[in-house]
Amino acid sequence: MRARSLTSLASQLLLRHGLVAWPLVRMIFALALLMTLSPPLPVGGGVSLGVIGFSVAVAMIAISRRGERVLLANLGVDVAQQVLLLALPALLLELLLGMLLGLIAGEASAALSA
Amino acid sequence: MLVADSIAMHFGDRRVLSAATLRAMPGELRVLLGRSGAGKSTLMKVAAGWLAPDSGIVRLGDDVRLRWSPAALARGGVFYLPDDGALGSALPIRQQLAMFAERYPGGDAPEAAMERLGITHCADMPPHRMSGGEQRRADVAAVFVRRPRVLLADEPLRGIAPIDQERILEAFRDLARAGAAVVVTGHDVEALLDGADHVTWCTSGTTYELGAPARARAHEAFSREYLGRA
Repeated sequence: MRARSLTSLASQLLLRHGLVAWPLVRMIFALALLMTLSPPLPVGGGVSLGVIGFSVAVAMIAISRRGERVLLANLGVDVAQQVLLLALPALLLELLLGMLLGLIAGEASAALSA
Repeated sequence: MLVADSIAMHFGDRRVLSAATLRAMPGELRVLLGRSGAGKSTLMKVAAGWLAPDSGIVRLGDDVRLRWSPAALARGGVFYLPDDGALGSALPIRQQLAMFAERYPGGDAPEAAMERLGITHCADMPPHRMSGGEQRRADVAAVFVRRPRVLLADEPLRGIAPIDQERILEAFRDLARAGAAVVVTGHDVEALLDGADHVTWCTSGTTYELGAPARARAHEAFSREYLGRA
């Protein structure tokens, strides 16, 4: 389960779990922040790391609930490899979100200065 | 060959195993018998890397370790079949078997394995939509796709019809005849003793190698304390 097998079926399963967990965690974060009257979509070091960590935790719970822990172990996928593959979508999506929000902020300040 | 040697294990104040040994030998179907709570499942979990023992070692071939991860043992050729199934509940059987075929080429093709176990009609179903017997047969189909060197099956016959039990035991016998080391636990004594090459008795925190089923049946303490015969 090295990089060469990032496209393997087991890796795809883990990436899918990570992909599903991220929006869920982001939504919970946004709701929690809205309740404290803070901006709902903060990005950056600490927050993004927190979101990635929670996403991995949520995905691990989903794996456990769906009875896939034994399946993955019998496929030879270590817990460390699972964490890595589950974190990957959240990491990429956090980067994308950061870039998107940066772009929007840039556009907004350009519009304001014009 | 897989050996979990001199295993001691406790949960809280309760000592489950004090010096138990599980041996999986190539070409043999071994049964691990014992009363409920004797520590059979715990010993299987230690041998499969799911529990770290208080003391004792697990040896796979020439590789001896105090602590294995389940995935490392799996890569070394061990397949663990827990009592609640080895497949995930949500994905279709065909997809899960394809994962094994992709990861471990050289075993049976998923279609052939499903046909062998008579679950072709369930190929596109997730396990939670199948009957208990079909789920167990799907687990065994995964074993044939994987073709492990060592199979540890914890109560694979529990709660399923005799015809399914016979089918699964026959599949395990085929696997052993092909050279795999198979260890099975359970309480379906007659079915297990009929199919086994060797009996291990787990009692009072330790294990006794009783040998062939005929010798086990003749063992006085085993007959009296486990089989319940005078």
